[in-house]
Amino acid sequence: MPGVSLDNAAQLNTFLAGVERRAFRIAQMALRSPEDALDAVQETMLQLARRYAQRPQAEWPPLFYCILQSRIRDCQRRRAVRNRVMSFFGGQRDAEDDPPDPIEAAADPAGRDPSEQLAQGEAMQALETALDSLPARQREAFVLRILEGLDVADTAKAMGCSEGSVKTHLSRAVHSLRETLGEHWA
Amino acid sequence: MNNDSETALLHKAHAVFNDSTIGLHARVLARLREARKRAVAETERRRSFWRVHSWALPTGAVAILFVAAVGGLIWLSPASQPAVPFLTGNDNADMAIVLSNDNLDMYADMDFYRWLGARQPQPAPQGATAGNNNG
Repeated sequence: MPGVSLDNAAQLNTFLAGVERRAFRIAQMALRSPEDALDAVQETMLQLARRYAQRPQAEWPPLFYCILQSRIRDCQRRRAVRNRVMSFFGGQRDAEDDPPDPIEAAADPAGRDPSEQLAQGEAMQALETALDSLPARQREAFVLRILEGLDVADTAKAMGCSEGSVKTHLSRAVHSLRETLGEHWA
Repeated sequence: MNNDSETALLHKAHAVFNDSTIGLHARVLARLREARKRAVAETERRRSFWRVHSWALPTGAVAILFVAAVGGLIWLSPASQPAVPFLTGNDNADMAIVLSNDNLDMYADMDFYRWLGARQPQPAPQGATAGNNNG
């Protein structure tokens, strides 16, 4: 990686600092586990640094989210295999059996008003539930294009498809979400 | 639902999502910060590796080219000197003995056979020869 300079490392640090929270929330929404989400984000950061740090900075966002989506899928696949194996041996573990997550149980560090926090939490919960009901590619397009704010070209690169496919997936996702969330949500 | 309400839905989704990233727990933020530092350190480590070992690539390429050139020269050059004889004249004689089908024990008793060969053959008695012929 001869092209990596000290400025490049600083730029990478700035980029990662700018996306790390949203990347964590995207992974958490998909994986439903803060620990798995943190692992996915950490692996994504390392892989971006190892393989693509020398690339132009403009290419980092789609590459980062492409890697992140790949890590999320890997984690989901591992879980599916683990669940199959556990169910085969009759020891399937339910999510309800897990100990409560201390991160989720902690007080709001932003110090927001409880009613505001509640409303915010309910709105986010409704959005997450609605997103869960979408097909994977539609959910991916919506998350990257609307929640993360990538443009259509970068979303297409991150998803590994054409811009036309992104528009189609996004249109269908918005249509489904409109029906699921209803008028009052907006 | 018209375009305005659709736009409002998208804006609200974006805002709700962004708000959800604000109130992350300190432990999560610490883990994210640690992961970011590791990633940046990895970048710097690779940069320093290439800086320290920047000579390795050209040197290796030159070495490979040199070895290939020498190998090519050896392979393509005709034999300029006659081959060194493998065996001298005496060695050839010894090798002929070793490769022959004769019994090697015979060579151990060479003195006996020299004596036997030096003896003149004795003429056989006339009577014994005639008797044999007649019998």
